Amino acid sequence: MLILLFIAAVPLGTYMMQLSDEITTSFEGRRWAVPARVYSRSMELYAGAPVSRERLVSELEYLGYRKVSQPDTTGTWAMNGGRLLLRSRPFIFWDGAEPEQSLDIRVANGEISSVMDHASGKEIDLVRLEPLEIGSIYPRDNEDRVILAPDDIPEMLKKTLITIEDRSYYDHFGIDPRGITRAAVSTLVKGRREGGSTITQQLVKNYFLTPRRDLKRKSKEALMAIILDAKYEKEDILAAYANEIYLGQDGNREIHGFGLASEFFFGVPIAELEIDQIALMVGLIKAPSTYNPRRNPKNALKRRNLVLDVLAQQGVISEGAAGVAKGKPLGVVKKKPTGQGGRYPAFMDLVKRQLRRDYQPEDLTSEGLRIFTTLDPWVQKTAENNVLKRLQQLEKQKGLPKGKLEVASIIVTPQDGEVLAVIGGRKAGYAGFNRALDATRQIGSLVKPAVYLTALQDPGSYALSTILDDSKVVLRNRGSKSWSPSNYDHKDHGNVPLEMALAKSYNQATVRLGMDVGVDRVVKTLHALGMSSEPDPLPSLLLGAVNMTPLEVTQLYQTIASGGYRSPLRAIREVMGPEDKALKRYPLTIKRTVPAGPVYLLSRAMQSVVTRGTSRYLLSALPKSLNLAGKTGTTDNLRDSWFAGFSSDYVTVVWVGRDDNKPAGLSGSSGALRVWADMMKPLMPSPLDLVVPGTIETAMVDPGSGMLFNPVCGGNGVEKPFLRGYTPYEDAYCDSDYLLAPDPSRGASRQGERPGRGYRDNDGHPDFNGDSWDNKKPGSSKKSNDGLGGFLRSIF
Amino acid sequence: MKILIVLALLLFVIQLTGCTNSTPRVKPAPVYQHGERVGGGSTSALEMPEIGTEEGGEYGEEQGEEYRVSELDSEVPQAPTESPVTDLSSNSLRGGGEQVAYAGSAGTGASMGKAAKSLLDKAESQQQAGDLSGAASTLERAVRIEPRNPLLWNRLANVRLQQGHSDLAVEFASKSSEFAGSDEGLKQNNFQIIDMANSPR
Repeated sequence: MLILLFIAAVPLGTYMMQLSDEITTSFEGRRWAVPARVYSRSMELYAGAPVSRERLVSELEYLGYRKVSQPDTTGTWAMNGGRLLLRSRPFIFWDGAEPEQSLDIRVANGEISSVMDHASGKEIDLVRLEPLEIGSIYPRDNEDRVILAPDDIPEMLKKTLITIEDRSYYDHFGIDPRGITRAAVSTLVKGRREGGSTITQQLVKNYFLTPRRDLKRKSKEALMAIILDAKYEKEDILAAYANEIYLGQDGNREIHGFGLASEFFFGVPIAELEIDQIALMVGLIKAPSTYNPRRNPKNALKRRNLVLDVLAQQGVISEGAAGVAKGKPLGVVKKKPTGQGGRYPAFMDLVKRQLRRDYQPEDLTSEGLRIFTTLDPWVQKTAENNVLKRLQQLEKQKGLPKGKLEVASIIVTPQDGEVLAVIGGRKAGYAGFNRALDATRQIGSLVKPAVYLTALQDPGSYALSTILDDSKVVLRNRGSKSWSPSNYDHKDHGNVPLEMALAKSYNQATVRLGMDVGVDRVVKTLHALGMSSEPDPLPSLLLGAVNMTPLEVTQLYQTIASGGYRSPLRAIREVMGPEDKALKRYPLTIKRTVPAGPVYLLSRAMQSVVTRGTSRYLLSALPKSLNLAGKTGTTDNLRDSWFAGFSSDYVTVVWVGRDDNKPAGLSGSSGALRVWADMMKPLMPSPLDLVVPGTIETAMVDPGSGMLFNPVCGGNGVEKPFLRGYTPYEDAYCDSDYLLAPDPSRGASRQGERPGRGYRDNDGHPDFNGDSWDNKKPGSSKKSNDGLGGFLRSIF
Repeated sequence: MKILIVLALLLFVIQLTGCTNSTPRVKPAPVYQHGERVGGGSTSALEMPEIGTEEGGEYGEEQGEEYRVSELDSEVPQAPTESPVTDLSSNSLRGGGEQVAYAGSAGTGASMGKAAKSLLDKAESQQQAGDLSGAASTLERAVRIEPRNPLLWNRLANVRLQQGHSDLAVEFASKSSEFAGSDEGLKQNNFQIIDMANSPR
C-alpha cells in the first residue's frame, strides 16, 4: 500500500516541480501590465492667481475632495467665512514631492488674495494641488488597474478581505482543507456549489488558469496555491490579489484591483476610504455585476451591510461602528469615465498621438508611465458647457435642421503653446470623430491675416493706413475661366484703408493685395506661421481655398498671438516612469518665424476686426476693455463658420459646420463667433496688451487718405503705428474730391524718398512703370512675371 | 486524498530544499518589479508635425543627456544684478559655477510676484547644483505663471545656453528683450547671451 502510494507520488512530485517552475516564471517573470495614467495640469495656488472661488471649488470637486466642517483629514475642505480651508493631498511631481498641507486660502474678486498655512498663519508663496487623473491607456485585453504596494493597502481593507474571503488565510498553506471539505459536502449534499477557495487559490485562478470548473483544474489550482504559498510571503500574495481581482466594468474597460476601484467608485485614493466603502468593495468580489452599486444599488446596499455585519460578528469592528456604517448611503460618485478616452476623449486623442511618436504601444499600456499633460479641466468644462447650448440656439434661431451643426474648438496659451482644451464635436465627452484634429476644412477668411502680414512685411508699400482698392476684380489665367470673387455683401467699397479691408474682410481688396504681394509669398508666410501642407499658390488661396484642421489653424494664430514666436503646440509636459523616475520632458520651445513689427501691425488690425469690423458682436458680449483681436472666416455657401481670436492669456479657434459639408447657414460672425464669445466669457480672459516692438513708431494720419494728418484741413487725425522709418511722408490734401479715385499706392511710403505727387497719374491709377511700388521689394519683379499680376494690373 | 497531498507536499519540500535552481523565498512578488526605462525614438505614423516639439530631436530631453554639462558652462554671462549699471561694467563673463543674483524688480522694470520669485530662486539653486533640466522645468513653470516676465525668459535663455542649446537660447533671450521695456541692463545681458550663442565654439 505504502509502496503503491509512493509510486503514485513520484509522478505527482515531478508534476509539482513543473508547476513550481511555471509559477516562478509567471509570478515573478510576468510584470504587471500597468497602464499609463494621464493627468491634467495641476492648479497653482498663490496670491494673485486668477482662480475664482467657483473655479477652485470645481477643481476640488473634480479631485474628489470632500466638503466637511473641519478639514482635518487628507482630501477635505471647508468654507469658513470668506476663507477656504483645505487639507491637500501629497503628490509626487516630475520635479519633486508636494507635501500634504493644511491651507487657509482667501479668494476675492475672482482671484486668490492669499494662501496661508492654516496652523501657523504663515504666508505660502506657491502651492500646487495634485493633478486630475484624466484617463489611462490600457492594453487590448481592456484590463485597467492602479498598482498598490503592500504598504499602500489600508489595514482595514486587508482585515475585511480576510474576514470575508478567507478567514484562515494567515494559517493555511495555500489551500484550506477544512474549507474544501465543507464545500465538497455542501456540493454533494445540498447540490449547491459553494466556494471553498482560499485567497491564494482565487489568485491562482485569476492569474494562471482558465475559468473552467472541473476537478482537473481544481486540483491544479490547489497544487499551484500550495506552491505559491510555500514560495512567497503572505503579504505579497495578498497584495497581488488586491491588485488582480476584478471588481467592475466600465464599458469595455475592466476595473481590476482595489486601487482603481476606489477611484472608480468613490473618486478618492484608497487611503481615504471609510469602512462602509471598504465593505462595499469587498462585497463586490463575489459578483461584481450583481452587486454593482451604480446599476443595482439595492443589492449592493444589502451586500455591503451583510459584510459589515460579518465584520462586527467577527470582532473586526464594533457593533456600534457597524451600525453607523450601515446607516450611510452607498457614497458612490457619479460615474466619470476615466478609461480609454475618459472624460476628455478629444484631448486624450491629441495626447496619444503625441505619445505615439515617442513610445511603443506596449510601453504605454504596461510600463506604468505617468503622463502629465497641459489640459485645464476648468477651461475644458467651461468651453463644453457653453458650446452645445449655443449650437441649439443657433439651430432654432436660423431654422436649421436640429442636431446637424457640428463644432470643433481648441484653446491654447499664446506664449508657450500649451493646449488647454480641445472640443472634438458638439457632444462633449463623446469619443467619436475628432473634428478639432481630423476635420480638414476650408479656412475661408482666416487666411487673410497671412495675406496682410505678408504685405505689412513690405513697409515701403504697405502700412495699416495704406489705401486699398476694393472695386470689382476679375482674374483670368491663360486657358482657364475667369474668377471674380465678390464681397460678402456683394458691394464694392472703393477706397479702403488696409486695416479696414481686413477688419471688414473685404474680398476684392484682399485679392488685389494678395496678387500684388504674390500668392507664393503668402504661402511662405503661412508656412512661417505653422502651416504644414503645400497648397498650390493659386489666387483662390487668398480667400481661404486651403484646407486645414482647427488644430493647424490654432498653430497659425498662436504664432500671431505670441508676437511672431511659433511654439509647436504641446499637450504633454512630462512623462514619468515607475518609481517616480523622470523619463522625458517636452520642453517649451519658441522660434521667431515672422518679424515682430509686422505682426504687431497685424494684431492691431485684428483688434479693429473686433472694434470696427466683422466681430463687433464681441464688444457687446465681452468687456470692451479686453481689446481682443481676432478674425472671422466664412466659406462658400456658408459651409464653414470660423472664428479665431486671442486675449493675452488664450488663443481660441472655433469652427462650426456640418460633417456632410452641406451649407450650415452660418457666417463666421453669426456662428463661430457666438460660440467663441460664450466659451470665453466665463473664462474671464485678461486684456490683450500688445507689446510694442522697438521697430514701431506712430504718426498722426488722415484716416481718409492714409496720408499725414494735415491740421490745416480741419477734422481729426488718428494715431497709427508704423514700422520705424516708414511713416507717411506727405501731408493730406484738403480737397477731398479726388480721393474717390482708387489709389492703392497712396499712403505707402518709402524711406528717405519724397518724390512729390508724380507717383500717381491723373486718373488716380497707380503708375506701375514708375518707382511707386517700391522696386527694391523682392517680390516686385515676380509680379510682372506671374501672368496673373499682369492681368490684374491690366484691369485697373 | 489527504495523505496524497501531504506526501506530495513532502516531495515538494524536498525538491525545494534540494534543488538549487529554485528561487529563495525572500524574493518579492512582481508587484514592485517595474519595467525598465522606456526608450524613446520610434517614429510613428503621426502626421501632425504641428504638434509636439518640432525640434524634439534637438531639444528633447532624456535625462541622460539633460545632465551633461556643456563646455559652455564656464562662459555663461551673468544675469544682471541689483544695479544693472554697475553690472554692465563688471560684466566679465565669469565662470558658470558662480551664481547670479536676482535683479531687483526696480531694475527689470517688471515686478515679479512671490510665486514666480520663489520658482526663480529654486531654478537658480538647481542651476547651481548642475541640475539644468530641473532649472529649465522650474523656469517653464514660472513662465506659465508670469508669461510676460522678461527676467524669466532671460534665465531660461541662460540655462539653455549652458546646456548648449544655442538656438533656443537666442530665441529666449530675444523674447526676454521684447518684454524688457526700458530695462537696458537686462537687454544688455540678453545681447551677451545671443552673442555667445552665435559665436563658434
